[in-house]
Amino acid sequence: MIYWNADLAAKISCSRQEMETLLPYIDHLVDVSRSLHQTGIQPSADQFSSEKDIFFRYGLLLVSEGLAGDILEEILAVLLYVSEEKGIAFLRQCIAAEAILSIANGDDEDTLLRKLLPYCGVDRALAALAKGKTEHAD
Amino acid sequence: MLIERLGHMYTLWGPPGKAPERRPRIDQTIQSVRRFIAAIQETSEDRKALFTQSQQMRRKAMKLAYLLLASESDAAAVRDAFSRSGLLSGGQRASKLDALVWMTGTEAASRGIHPYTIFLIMTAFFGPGAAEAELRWLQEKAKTAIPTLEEFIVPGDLTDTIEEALKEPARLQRTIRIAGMPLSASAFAGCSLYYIEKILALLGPVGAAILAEMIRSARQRLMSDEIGTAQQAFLDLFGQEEGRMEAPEQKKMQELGAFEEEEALADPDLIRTTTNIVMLAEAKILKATLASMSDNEIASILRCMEAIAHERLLSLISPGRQKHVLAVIQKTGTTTNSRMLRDAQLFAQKLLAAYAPKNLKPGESLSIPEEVRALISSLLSRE
Repeated sequence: MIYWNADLAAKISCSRQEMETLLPYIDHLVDVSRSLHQTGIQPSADQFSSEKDIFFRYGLLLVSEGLAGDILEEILAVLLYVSEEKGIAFLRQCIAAEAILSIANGDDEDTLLRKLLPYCGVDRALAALAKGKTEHAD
Repeated sequence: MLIERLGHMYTLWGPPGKAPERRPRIDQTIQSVRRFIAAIQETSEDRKALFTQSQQMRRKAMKLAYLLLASESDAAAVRDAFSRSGLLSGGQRASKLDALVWMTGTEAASRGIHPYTIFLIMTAFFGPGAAEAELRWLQEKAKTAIPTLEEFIVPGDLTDTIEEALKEPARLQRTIRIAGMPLSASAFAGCSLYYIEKILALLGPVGAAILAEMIRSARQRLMSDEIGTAQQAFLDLFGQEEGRMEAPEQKKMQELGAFEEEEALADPDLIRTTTNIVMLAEAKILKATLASMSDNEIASILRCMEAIAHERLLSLISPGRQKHVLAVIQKTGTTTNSRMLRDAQLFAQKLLAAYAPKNLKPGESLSIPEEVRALISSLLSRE
């Protein structure tokens, strides 16, 4: 059963215009994921210090400690639960959390996109996926 | 699914509300959480010592947490005790969050989770800024707490190939995360100290300390055969990781329509449900279920769950049968979502049959734990 809640729905709600800003953010998350896929994580170096997004940075630090799966999801869900962000800022945190789980799980780029794009709405997700496929075909 | 889990939290706990001015209160609670983690580590052999410590606690939620741990309550009992205590309902956000911190930490401890991980779960309630500061503190603490291991080598597949595997650190890191710490530790338990040090360097200090502790524990409780089986399972996952890296290139060649088509990618919800069933069902019922299944059927169902559940299922069959099952897995090709669903549903039906006593009277219900019952019915109702 999917639990849904009016308070959560209100917290996550944002305008179509605001959602337009998500695609560049998703591009950034995909770039980080791609780079970690190739080079791996260097736990001894302060690899994520340049990451400005504190939520995403903390999640990556957890991944560098070997966390993944259910425990990582539990921690990220707690962070989202107590988050004081609302609207688009909160939605960005949700997307960052999804990306962190995906990176920990070693998902490939297509899978990551399929997980993140639905946060932009069905129409935009399908359009972005279709565009991605065309670019691949080219 | 993350958003589903978040929705569940909102439904159970209500909205967190507006945060009060809280820095001094946070600092105070964080100090208490640090002491709590130390107490869990110190009393790992005998929780009863926590009764004495609980008497010194002035805050209700903390006192309850220590008492529940001392009485070795299970996770459901912890949740029940906190919800009946009234600490979670009403009041200000600060006191509600305080109760949630202690309930979640105690519940995690009752599930046998490592104290460092419990600390990370509890400090998440203070937001990413404070949680990151606490992670840095824990990293410093963990650096000095990595246990010293002795030389112990179990000849096996991983012992022979670990040098090669270490040449691909990114892939090895992913495999450790996907396999989970328990399976990884069991597999690495047979490797030489030289390689273990290199493996630990792939993780941050907290992860390295947890893994080293688990390796030490695995060496104390596992037989050579069991370590060998874990090595084989870990290598299987390592091999699958290679396959997953090749997959995107192949997918680029597909048409857009393939997005809707059935494919070899596993349905994460199905995997999670099957994993939860295996982790929650009683060992004797699982044993009876596995006894009624062929090697091929066991190999098929292993594809429908996470690595942590593999370990549990494989530990319930003989070493000889484990080898047969793993051999079947190696020989079989990719599967489809619908095939995985059928396999998982067949397993659920056999599990139900194992729960049914031979003398079950008409109208009498099966004594299945509520959580397992819900998962089985959710699995069987999928199409």
